[in-house]
Amino acid sequence: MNFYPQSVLKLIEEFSKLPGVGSKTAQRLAFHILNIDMEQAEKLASAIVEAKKNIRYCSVCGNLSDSDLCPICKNDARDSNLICVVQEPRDVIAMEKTREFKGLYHVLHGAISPLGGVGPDDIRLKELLSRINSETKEIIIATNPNVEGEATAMYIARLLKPLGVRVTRIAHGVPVGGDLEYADEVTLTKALEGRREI
Amino acid sequence: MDFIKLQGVVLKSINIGESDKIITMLTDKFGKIDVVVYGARKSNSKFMASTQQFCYCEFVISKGKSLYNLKQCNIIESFQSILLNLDKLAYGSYFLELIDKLTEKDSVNLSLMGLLLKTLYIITHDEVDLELLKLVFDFKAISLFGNMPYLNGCIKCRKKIEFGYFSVSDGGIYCPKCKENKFAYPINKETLNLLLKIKNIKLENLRDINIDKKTMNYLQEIMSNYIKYYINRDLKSLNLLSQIKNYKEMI
Repeated sequence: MNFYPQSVLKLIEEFSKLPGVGSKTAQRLAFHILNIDMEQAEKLASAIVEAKKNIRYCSVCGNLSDSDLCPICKNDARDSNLICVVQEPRDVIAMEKTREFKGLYHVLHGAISPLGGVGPDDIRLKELLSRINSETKEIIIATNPNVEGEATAMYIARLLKPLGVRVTRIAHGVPVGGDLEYADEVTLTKALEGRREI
Repeated sequence: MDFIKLQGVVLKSINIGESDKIITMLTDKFGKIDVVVYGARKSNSKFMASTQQFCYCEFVISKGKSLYNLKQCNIIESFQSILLNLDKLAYGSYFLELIDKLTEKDSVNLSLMGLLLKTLYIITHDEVDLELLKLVFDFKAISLFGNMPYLNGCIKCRKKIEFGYFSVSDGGIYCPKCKENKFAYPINKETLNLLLKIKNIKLENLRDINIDKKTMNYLQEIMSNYIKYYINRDLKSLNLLSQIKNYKEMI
């Protein structure tokens, strides 16, 4: 039995297509939309359409941007000889939250997956190679610490080493605030490998 | 709810939802099974490292509605050093994929699991010729799957032969008389001896085999087609392997 009017049903259906939103949450969101005033609903609708229309990828780093160059690539204060390679645009946000990294980014839009059939030609590796010049000081590979991320990191290192560029990998280890007792052997081994003098 | 304790190697994982994943593993008690791991991708998950590919662990699982759920996990050998070498990673991924494609769900094959574990130990701890390891692995895996090529004589007249023709579709060698018009790879005495050696050799004695590049490539081609004939599909990990090979040749 369908208890909802057609337009409400459509709204619930569309919400439930979003990631992490089940039918119950979709129903709650739909009723929230019905309760807000018209102006607010129009603002939400136009924000979605505007973002969809205006957002594109930065022509240099591949990050999300609303113009040809993203704000990070446009910023002259950043060190253009230091490039941090990440898998997805959301990884750029995660890195930026640290406020520690002052270089530029390169978004691969994926990772090499031997079992998923994603090869080096399927991600933005050629674009990375074209950004490297004699002044490039360091390439920091910040791909995820899993099989796909490591495969990508190793492949990039193999490509770039002959060019004489310093290639580094972000450290892996025990999360801040965590208990050593609960860390698994793999993480602890990585933490030991990446130890530093204090 | 019954808890089941078993040992297994993680063959692959698929992300589902926000932070969960389904891992496919080859186990000692149930063969190949799918297990849901809730929250495995969260940074504070105790299952984050142990559900990575290659990990050999002791798992405690429970039966859900359609899949198993992971409850506890203890790493026996992580094989994570494979991830630090692109060649080893590419070959290791190929071994996992081949085992995944060869095995059926819920059918136990302890010998195949033993072969996989032994191979992963060798890649991790030894410096071996990975191409030769792949060739031997291919032969042994397809044999344990129940399709060992017949090499003791001609598959039709059963006469002992020193050279002949390897038929992928018939799974063995023909003497020149019995071959007729069928397509088969010509096999000389040296190549046949090598195939027999590969059949009998233990993985830990791979250093005893000397094989030239040309013969290796020829045997690789035969074995790849032999495997493709039986599993009836392409292996995705072969793409990365061939790209790495091409890159090496380019350098």
